[in-house]
Amino acid sequence: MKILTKILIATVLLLIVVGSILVYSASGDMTLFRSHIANVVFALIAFFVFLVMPYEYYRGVTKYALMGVIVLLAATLFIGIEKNGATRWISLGFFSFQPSEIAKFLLVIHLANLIESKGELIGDFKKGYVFAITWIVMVAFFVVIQPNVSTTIIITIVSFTILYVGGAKLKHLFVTAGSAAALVAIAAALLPHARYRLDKFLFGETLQVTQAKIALGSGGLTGLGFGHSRQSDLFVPYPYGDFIYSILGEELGFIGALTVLFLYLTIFVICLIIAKRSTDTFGQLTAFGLGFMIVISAFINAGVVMGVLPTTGITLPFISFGGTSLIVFSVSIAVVLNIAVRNNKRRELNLARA
Amino acid sequence: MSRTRVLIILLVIFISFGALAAKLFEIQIVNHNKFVYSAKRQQDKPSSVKAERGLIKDRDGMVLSYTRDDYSYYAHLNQIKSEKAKTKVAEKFSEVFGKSKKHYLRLLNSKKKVVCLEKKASKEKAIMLREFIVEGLKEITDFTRIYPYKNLAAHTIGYVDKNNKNGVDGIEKYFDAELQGEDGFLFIERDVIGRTVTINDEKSYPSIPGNDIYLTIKKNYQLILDDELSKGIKEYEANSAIGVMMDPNTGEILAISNVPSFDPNKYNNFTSWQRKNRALTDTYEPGSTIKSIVIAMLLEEKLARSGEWIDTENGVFRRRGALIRDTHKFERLTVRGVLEQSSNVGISKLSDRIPEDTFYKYLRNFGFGNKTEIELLGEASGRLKKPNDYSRVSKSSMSYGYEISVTPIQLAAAYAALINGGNLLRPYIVKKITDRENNTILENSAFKLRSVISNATSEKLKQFMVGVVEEGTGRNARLDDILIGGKTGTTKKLVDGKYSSKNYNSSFIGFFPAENPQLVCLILFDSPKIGKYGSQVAAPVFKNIVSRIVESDVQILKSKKNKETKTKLLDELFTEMNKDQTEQSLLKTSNINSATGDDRIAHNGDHRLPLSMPNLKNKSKRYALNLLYELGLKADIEGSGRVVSQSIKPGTKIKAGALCRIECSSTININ
Repeated sequence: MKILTKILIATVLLLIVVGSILVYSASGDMTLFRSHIANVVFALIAFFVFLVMPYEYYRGVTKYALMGVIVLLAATLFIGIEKNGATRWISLGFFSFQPSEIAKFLLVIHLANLIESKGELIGDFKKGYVFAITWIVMVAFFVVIQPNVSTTIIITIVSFTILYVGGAKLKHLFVTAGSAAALVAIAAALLPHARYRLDKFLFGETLQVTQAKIALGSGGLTGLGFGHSRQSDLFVPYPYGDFIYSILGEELGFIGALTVLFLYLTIFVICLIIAKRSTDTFGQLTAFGLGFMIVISAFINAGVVMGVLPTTGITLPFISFGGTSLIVFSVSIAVVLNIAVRNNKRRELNLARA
Repeated sequence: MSRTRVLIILLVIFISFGALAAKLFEIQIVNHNKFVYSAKRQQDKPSSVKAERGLIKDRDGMVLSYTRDDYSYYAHLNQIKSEKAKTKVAEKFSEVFGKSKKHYLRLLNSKKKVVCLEKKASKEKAIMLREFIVEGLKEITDFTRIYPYKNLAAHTIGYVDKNNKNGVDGIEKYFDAELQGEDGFLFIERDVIGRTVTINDEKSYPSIPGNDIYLTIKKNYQLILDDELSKGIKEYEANSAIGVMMDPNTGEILAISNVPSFDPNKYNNFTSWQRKNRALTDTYEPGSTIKSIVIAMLLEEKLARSGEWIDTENGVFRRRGALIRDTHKFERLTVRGVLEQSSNVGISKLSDRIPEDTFYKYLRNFGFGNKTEIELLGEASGRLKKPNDYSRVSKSSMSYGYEISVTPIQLAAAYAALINGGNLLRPYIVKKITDRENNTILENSAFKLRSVISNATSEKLKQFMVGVVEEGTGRNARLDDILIGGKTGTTKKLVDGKYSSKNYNSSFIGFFPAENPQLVCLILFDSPKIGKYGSQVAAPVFKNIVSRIVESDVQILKSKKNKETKTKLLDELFTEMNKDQTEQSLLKTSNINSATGDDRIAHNGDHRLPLSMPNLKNKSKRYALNLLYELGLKADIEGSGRVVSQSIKPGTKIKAGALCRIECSSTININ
């Protein structure tokens, strides 16, 4: 167990280090790099705070925390900062963050909490399932109208997967997930930039994707080496953000790109083992949910860069530039590690008692 | 937590990642080369570096046309969105260019994607903006062709199109390829927005600037010609004027002027007529200026002698149904007198002696009916009738300059041949072409097309034309201190196919210094309202031009200019002429058309046939000498200059063979 937590920490740190180098290499901008390092430091602080905070305490607060973040999401619509046609940011003067990223994280924990407290009732639509759906809809609604279709999709996928693993009835899942998919499709059709991206995905390729593929492809087996990207700062727009994986592939080649994919799988698998060894449903579902959120984000991000998924604004966990994302993912790992540590201790305690 | 369901999810994730890995393999390994090619192609986009266009200079190296680098500023409005950025840009531009902030804000708030904030700003302004970097604000180097002297030689130089790229007219067009140079290439690794990242020196090569063209034009002469023609247009209320100046010894064009002219810097503001180089695109009927060439034919073919008398019918003569009139009426004139007094009747009669084929051949040889092949575009060839197309009066009409049309440049070239010893030269306007390192690539020199008349005939024609200026219709071109030769010409303009009684082409073509001609110059005024004759309008303008040129350019006269030198030269010239006449007659009487039996050789009488001894006082020595000879008197002359006394009193009846003593003095005695 200890070895697993060490591997998890090492993997995450490796991804963060690679991410920092790539952000610098891709942007070629000292200011941006400094800001990224600041985020890393901030993320590490948050990481340690959540590492030592026993996860059991969350049971009592997830509901209020999620309510609070929903209020923030609503507030974003009025006091948020508009960037590229979407209002996703709240500024605190020295620091701005995306409430939707926090909501995503809190929703996972709250759903785990809810499923645990409902027990068998989660299989009952009226007595259990509907409560979970209500939370999901509330969060998704405020995120989708920002508009932020990508995060909405992530939230929906992660939430329904947790419900699925948590024991919800397949009938309920099919009906609600089906309607959710329909609603997301409608939203995508109504929002011009989402429709454009979908159209481009189905009937062509966006400039970003074309350039990302050129970057990946010219990387070859071993890549051009760290800092030698020629597509970054050049042809791939905002290469330090959602398309950083293409620069990674260009600089580190197929070996590097595949290794990173493998690292995400490793994180997910370790999260699953931690979940499996967890003695309570809350711990199990939280570890699973957060691990799944990381791996699905990585999958979608890489899929977009390779052109197998429509363009979305999903960050590559631990690597992409972006403070909120980095902090939230770090905190997620901290929570999972806490679950591992707490359960380990508990098991040792039980063993001692026995 | 359902174990089966977790395993299903795990399976799904593994399959998904397996698919991603496969796709990654396809992109990075299978299609690696394809993407490397795409990457190279876009990263090493070669960009052309525009070659600097060559300069156009006058013969002494004065720059008449050059290219200036200007800077234009464009704002990409999708990148300048915030009010703050807009205000910042507007404030800076307002500060640099002095226009209002509102003006720029209005541009920045327009709906367009890209707006031009400033076009073709100077280098000074560009330097002021060099430190001002705003995303979305772009500086583009813009070339502007500059013609520093505006109208000067505009028709020769021509102009370039709006993009300052291709020559449209004149030398700019004719030598476009030479001037353009070769664009270079920069292999630049660049980003999507076009920002340069690095330059690949190995694959890049620099542009080769265009070659410089030295014209044969002399800026100073061009200026004088332009100026005097403009003055003339005002003074004589003419529609327009054309001037051509040529070096008769080489064929170099020293100046071409078409007034009204245009400013090639703003060529769009002018009509196509104003931009046209009428000196070679437009033809006109040359009128009496052609007579010199007809006389040259007669002398060359020995069909007339200079002193031979022609009955000029008192200026009115009807032949073959056509009425021929002279402006200056004389009963009879010598062949020389016909030219001096520009008698249509006389030249018409003389032209009868020339066979049609010979007549045509000479005109053809002098270059009429053919383009001169000067290095300018749009040249007309004029109209020269072939003998087959002659009517009964054609040759006669052509002998005084109707039924034939020429371009000013053709006539100038023909006159150059007339006075340079009989060599028709190809007129040219490009002296040399050099590259930027000043290596000569091409150098033009005199190109003789053919010999058209003998040197002797040429000498004689020169003398005759000096006579035109000193004694005849060209007197208004006369200068006291410089020997000038020339010929006037006046034709009714053809307006809608009919000869106008109001509109005339008034011309004068002259050369100087006559003893060693350095310059031949044609002046042509279209429809002057004050004075219609070439002698009244064009000749005085020519005179002004000559005196200004001599004043500004001492080198053009080999000998010092002064009155005495000139008088002496003139005397020598005429003494020689009279000597010719005492020699054995060279006239082949058999060639004389007997139908014009009126023509006879007479030795008694002035051009104006006086019955008694004329008053020679204040006449020039050569005039007196000539006159005495014509009267059949022996002359005994002392001194030089003007006549102060004569031994036979004016009004006395003349006895042939009597001796007349004449005293001359160079100090003018007015009484």
